Amino acid sequence: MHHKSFFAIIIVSVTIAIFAPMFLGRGDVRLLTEIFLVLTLAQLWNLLAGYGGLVSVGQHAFVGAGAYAFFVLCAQFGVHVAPALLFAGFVSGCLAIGIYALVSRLVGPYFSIGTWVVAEIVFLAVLQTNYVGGASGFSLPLSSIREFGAAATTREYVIYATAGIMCFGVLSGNFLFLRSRFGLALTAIRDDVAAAHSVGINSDRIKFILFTSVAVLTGLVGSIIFVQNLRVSPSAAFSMQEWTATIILIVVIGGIGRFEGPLVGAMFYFALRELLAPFGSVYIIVTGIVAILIIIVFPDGLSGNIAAISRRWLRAVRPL
Amino acid sequence: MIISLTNAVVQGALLGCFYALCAAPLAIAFGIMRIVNIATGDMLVLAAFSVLFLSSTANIHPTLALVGVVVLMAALGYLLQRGILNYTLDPDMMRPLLVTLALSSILQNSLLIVASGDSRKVSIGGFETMGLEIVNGLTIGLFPLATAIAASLLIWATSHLIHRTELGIFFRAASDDPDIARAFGINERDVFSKAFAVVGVLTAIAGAFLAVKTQFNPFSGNDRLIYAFQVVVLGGLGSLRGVFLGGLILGVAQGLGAYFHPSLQIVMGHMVFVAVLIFRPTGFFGAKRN
Amino acid sequence: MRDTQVAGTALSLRNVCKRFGKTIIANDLSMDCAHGELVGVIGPNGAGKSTLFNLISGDIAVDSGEIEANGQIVTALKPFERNRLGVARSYQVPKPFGRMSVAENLEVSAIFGAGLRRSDARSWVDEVLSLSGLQAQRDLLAGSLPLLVRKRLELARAVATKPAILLLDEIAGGLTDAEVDDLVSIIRAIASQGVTILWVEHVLRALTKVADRVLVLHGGTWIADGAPEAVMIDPEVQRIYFGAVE
Repeated sequence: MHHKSFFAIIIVSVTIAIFAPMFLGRGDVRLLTEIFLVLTLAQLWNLLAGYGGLVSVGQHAFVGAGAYAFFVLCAQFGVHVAPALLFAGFVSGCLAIGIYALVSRLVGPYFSIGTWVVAEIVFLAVLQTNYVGGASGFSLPLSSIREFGAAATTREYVIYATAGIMCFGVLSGNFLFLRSRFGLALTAIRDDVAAAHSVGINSDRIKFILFTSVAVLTGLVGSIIFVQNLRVSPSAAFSMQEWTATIILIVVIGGIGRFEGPLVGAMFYFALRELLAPFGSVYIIVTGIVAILIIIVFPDGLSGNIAAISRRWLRAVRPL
Repeated sequence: MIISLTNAVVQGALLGCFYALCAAPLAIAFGIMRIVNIATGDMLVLAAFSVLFLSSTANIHPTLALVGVVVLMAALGYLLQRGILNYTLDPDMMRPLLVTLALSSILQNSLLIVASGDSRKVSIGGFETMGLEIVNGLTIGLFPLATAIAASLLIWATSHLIHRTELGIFFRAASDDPDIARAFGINERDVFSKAFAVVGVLTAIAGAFLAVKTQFNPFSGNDRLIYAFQVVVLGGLGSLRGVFLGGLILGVAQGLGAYFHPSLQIVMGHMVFVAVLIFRPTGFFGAKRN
Repeated sequence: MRDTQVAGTALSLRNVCKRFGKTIIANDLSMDCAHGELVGVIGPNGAGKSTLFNLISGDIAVDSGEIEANGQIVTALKPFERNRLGVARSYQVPKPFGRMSVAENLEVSAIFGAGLRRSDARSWVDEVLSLSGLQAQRDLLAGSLPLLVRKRLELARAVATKPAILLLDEIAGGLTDAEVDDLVSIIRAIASQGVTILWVEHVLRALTKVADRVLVLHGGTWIADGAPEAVMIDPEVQRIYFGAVE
């Protein structure tokens, strides 16, 4: 995709997103906010694992860390929500530096579970810290909530806008990043690490930078997620199922290591979830089954294989 | 003081045997198929629930129910490898990891629907609370002792199976180099399916001990996987005697943690794990495999 | 064997040892290459020529000894650091960046290896493409190239990092006579820019045409060192390398 057509699509989408709340109910706006946030997490994980080969299954550590950092700053130190959001990203990044120092010693799949174990250790540490409310967590003070807007609808719109900025920002940043020199280096590392070293690429450094920056943004998303909830607790903020497993399944379904993969996967996931809403957690089971089928039958995911199938179909219709 | 410290170490070691038992399925799946099975913990919990349901619905003793669950889990393991995981074998090991991650979500939420989120436990008629008093202040529970004996026997037997039997030679041949194995008429898909049946058997037995030992609910699998993973890393990625040692290290660390303060039990285990990651990332038996 | 240190050496190995179990690859191996020299390295199969390159490029660590490249001791440096100091290599079995185009393969090498800015890298990539005769393939995915073009890409990608020392590992295999001549002229052109070249090759025809000097590796040591014509008629070399197999 060329720069022009990509940014044309982005501008159209952003324009639609700006005016969408005028025509939607509050529930729909909340759902859209959630979609934005989940899509952002999916993009970030795809960048990390699909492009960087860092298949982390412990990203919930950063969602939780960002959320807690934000809540602590607002509730305990009375910091304004805007700088608190940014600082939440910073805290999450610092945590990532420590975690990476530990897990980067593990190779392949052991790196993956290593990230999970360390995430559980962080969860456990928060769980046992009375300062942040232990197992029950704590709420965002009313004064901080008001900083997002005095009326509930304004507040929801502000949160919606923040989530939208995150989502489209990460989407555009992702697009530019993959075409930058770092994107080239990342592809080179993915294709052949020894050859990448032989042409002067420092894969350790690039992976470290990738891991940390993805963590910063994941932390930011985490704080926005829990602003919407107004309350944070360890089991919700550090939920492996919600912030890691689901996100990974979305990317796998859409197409891992493909730019449009997270988008296609998220559309599929939310459509399925809304469709199966009356049946409780059945939608998670169906998502899992679909993901397994995709891994076996369509390793390039829906986006990759739909693209390939439609190309073949087009060729058949219009032979050149 | 000496006695209570000894007690902490002994109880920790017994606990460690249980951890080793739970980690064995993870270690074997990795050692032979190079599959990191993220659903290891959930399969343990599935086995625990199966023991519970079979014994309560058929109104039989849990030990008898275990026989059925062993068959069930072996069949399940075989089918899982045959029907799904055999199609994901590739050198970078990411696809099987993602498949088992999805499987983990499926198992957890299926159990939630079938069994609700309540915590359960299986009772075996008081045996689990009996103890053998060695000296005053040092009592060895019969059930932990039975667990330790079962863990030692099973790990020894599995090791014997892998190193001393024809099937074991097939396992190792298919694992080391599928191409060469194929040249000798060994079908690695077939062999891997059998190996996963063995994993299923171990999972069933470990799951049964889990069912009696602690409370469990559909989401208990996460913690089980984490301990199993720590054991495998402590022992050095995929070697069976390493698993035993790794289990002992984790168990004793937790036992000593609990000795200092009950809330330190789990924390101490994690701390030892992190320390090993920092200072000896290949674990204690890390350099060599098999 | 040279006892005297050549002034202005580009590459020096000093008492390098490497063994894998019982297989000795390098046994107290020393050598010097002068700036701009084109040195051929030959030896029987399994003599460890590729391993020697791995030691110089840093893909494998030495057991003992010292390697100096472009005026710096590089023994403890990682492959990417050595590349940035001017050591570039090709791999015997090509390792292209398969999901990138030929031009992007060179671009990423120019940026990270040669330290060029992106805008400068583009024109340098064009230069390397025309030097190596890969213009026609510039926009093809590297993963889709046939083997011989992949080997050419190996050479071009190493050159794109602007090396002072270029290690070429069997890039002439499978070429026709005309293609060998073509390759030789490319390598002459690279050498004429002052690049020191170490070339491991089985196609001796190609080597003897361009090499200033030929080294013969066998059993972890050099068994001959000299002008190509002299080395080829050396009785020891004849016996080990070309001799009848008993």
